[in-house]
This record gives sequence, C-alpha cells and structure tokens, in this order.
Amino acid sequence: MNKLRLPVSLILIIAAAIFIQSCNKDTVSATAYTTAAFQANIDGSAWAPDTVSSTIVYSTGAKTKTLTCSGTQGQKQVIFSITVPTSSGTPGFPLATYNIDGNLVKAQFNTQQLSNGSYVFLPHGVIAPGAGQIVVTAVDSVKKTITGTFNFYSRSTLYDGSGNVISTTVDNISSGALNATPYVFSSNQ
Amino acid sequence: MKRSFILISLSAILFSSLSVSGQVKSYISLFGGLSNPEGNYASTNYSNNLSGFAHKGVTFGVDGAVYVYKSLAIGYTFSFQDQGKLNYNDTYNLAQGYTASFNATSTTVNAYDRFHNFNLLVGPQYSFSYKKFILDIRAFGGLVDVTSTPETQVELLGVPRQTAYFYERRSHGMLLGYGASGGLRYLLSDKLSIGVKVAYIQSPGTKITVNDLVDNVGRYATSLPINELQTTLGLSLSFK
Repeated sequence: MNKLRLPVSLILIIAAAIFIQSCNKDTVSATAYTTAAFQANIDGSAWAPDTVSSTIVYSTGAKTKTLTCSGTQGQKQVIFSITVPTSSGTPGFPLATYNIDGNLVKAQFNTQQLSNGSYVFLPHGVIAPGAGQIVVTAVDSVKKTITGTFNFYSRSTLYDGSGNVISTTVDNISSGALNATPYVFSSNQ
Repeated sequence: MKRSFILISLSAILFSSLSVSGQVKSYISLFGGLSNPEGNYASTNYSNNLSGFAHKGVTFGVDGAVYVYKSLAIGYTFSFQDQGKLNYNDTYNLAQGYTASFNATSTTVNAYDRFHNFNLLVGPQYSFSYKKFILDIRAFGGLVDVTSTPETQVELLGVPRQTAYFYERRSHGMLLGYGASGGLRYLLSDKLSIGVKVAYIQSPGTKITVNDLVDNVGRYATSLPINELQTTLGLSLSFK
C-alpha cells in the first residue's frame, strides 16, 4: 500500500485545489450601450431616441443647404440644424466642424412640459453661441446616410421678481453620435 | 463526441478481434480531468433560449466496477463537475442582446454563482483485456444533482415599462441522467492500474425561473439541458 500513498496523495491535493478554485463565485458585470443610429449622453445617462428624423433641404432660391436632425425619446428631445450658404443642389453635405453660433448652426434641448393643459416639448434652457459643436464626418449621398458627432450644453436660469438669479441648471448633451443615420434630401424654392 | 465514439468503437473492435481475454478484477478508481460542455449547454447564443453559457471545467470523483460474470460488470461513478461561471464576454453578449430586444439605451448584466453538479451513475460494463491493457465499455444512467447554476440580474435603461431589475434565477434539482463511456486501463501491477476514460453524459437539466420581467421580450430561458463530454485520468485499485 506504500506504493499507493504518493499517487493517492497527489490526486487528493489536486482535487482539493480544484475544489477551492471552483468556489470562486465573484460577480461578473458588463454593460452594453445602444448601437442606435442616433444617440447621445444626456446629463450622464445614455439616451437613444426611438423617433428620429434627419433631412437635408436645398433652397434653390437662397442656394443654401440645411441639415436638420431631431430625436425624441421619453420626455427629452434633441434638435440641431446646420445651414451652409452658397451650396450646390447635390444630395450630399460638406464634411466639417460646425460651431454653434445661434444663427446658421443651432441646437435645441427640449423637455416635455405642461403648457395650456397639454404636454408639449419646450426648450429646457438656452444653447448659446459657443456652447458646443456638430461635426459631420461622413456622408453617403447615394445611400443617403450621415455620420458625425455632436455635443453642447443648455443653460436655464431662474430669476425672481427683481431679476435676481435664483438658480442655474446646465444640461450636458455629450458624446452625441450619428451612425450612418438615414436622411431625406429635398429641394424647395 | 463523434470522434470519441469512433475511437471507442474501433478500440472495442480491435480488442474483441484479438480474442484474447484475461482475468479482469473488480476495481475502484480515483479520477480527475476535464469536463467539456457540449451543444446547447456550451452555446453562448443569446437568441437560443436553451443556451447554457457553460464552460470547460473540471471533474473528479470515484469510479469502479464489480464483475458479476466473466468480463461483465456493474460499473458505477460518483463525480463532481464544475462548468465555470459566466465570464465578461458572456455577460456583455447578454447585455447586447437585451439592449437590442428592448430597444434600451443601455443594459447592465450582473452574473454570479457557478455551474456545479454531482453525478451518481450506474450501468453495465463489459471489459476486453489484452496483455496489460483493459478496455472498459459502459452504458449508464442515474442521478444528476445540480447544486447551482449562475444567476443573472439585468438592469435596463431607457425602457419605461421595465424600470426594475429582472432576474434569471439560480436553479438546482435532482434529475435523471444517462450516457456512455469508454476507458482504457494499463496494469502497473496485480492490483494497481492507471487509465484514461472518455464519458458522455446527458440530462434534461433544471427548470429556470425568470422573475420581475414585465414583458416577455427577448431571451427567456426556461430550462438548462446538460451535455458533458469528460476526459479523465484515473488510478485504480483492483480488490479481487
């Protein structure tokens, strides 16, 4: 039986080691974010609208081209638009970085609010010139899809009757992405 | 599985064609080795509700046979199996699937606990011997005691109808199992032998309970069938 002592001991030691290892029950976690064509991070939370609209409209009279994108999900809505002067009537759009200026490049962050007895989307603060940018990185004018990024912030300020500031709230719309989002191209006068 | 079956069959044919039969003795073995999940048990396909997400693990236990008539014996195995736990890729895979199914903005999946089960399997065994080699072919059935399976906790964001966590609960239970094995032993002495064995075990598996899921959307597992292919090494002691 002495011959058996070593192999049996080895087997028992290995079995004990395996058994201890098999007691490892640590929690494993993973988070997956949406791969939706239109998404952003609003105040730190991922947000992917279920209602999305993107259009490029060419004005034959003014010879301008305007890209407008909007997304709605839950009680939040993001809208931005870029107008490019002296454009051609092709269905594409210039690749560039567009800084929000409140005139040709505008953005809006709306929340659903009660107004005159019904819930409507109204601006939650103001997105002032210089409050962000929209970057158009790729446009497929054949498939009519647009890719890019956006980020901006909206500031809302409450005043008392004397015009003194009571509070200021800033909503951050960050890591915004358009991932080959389909758009509709049209021309008008 | 096919390869193992072919190997076992060929070995059996080879040994039987040699027509050399030596004296075989009842024995008891200590064994350990690898247990590989097969089929749905190993699948990590989110869309397959039978996917088990089990992983390659270890098995060890006691095996033996009592010869009742010449080379015919009653074989038995008592073993423990660990088939691992869900890893990061599994939880991420599930999170991606739930995100798409629920159109969520994000999904977090937390998984804990492991696949553990004990097998107590008994069945007829026939042995072929040639010089110092003994080939054991066995069919068996018995009990599979599943002591735990992983539990998952799922958190969806951006889904108003499912704001609470939902759970695919840990399961356990005593089930029927069956399978077959082929083993080759080499006699080191009159009483001592070492051997390698391949066994395939199947069981319908435990029932799975899903709690707090508001809508039956996306993956919805109700059972966890078990399929294991085990390759083990053993040390045997003959006692008769």
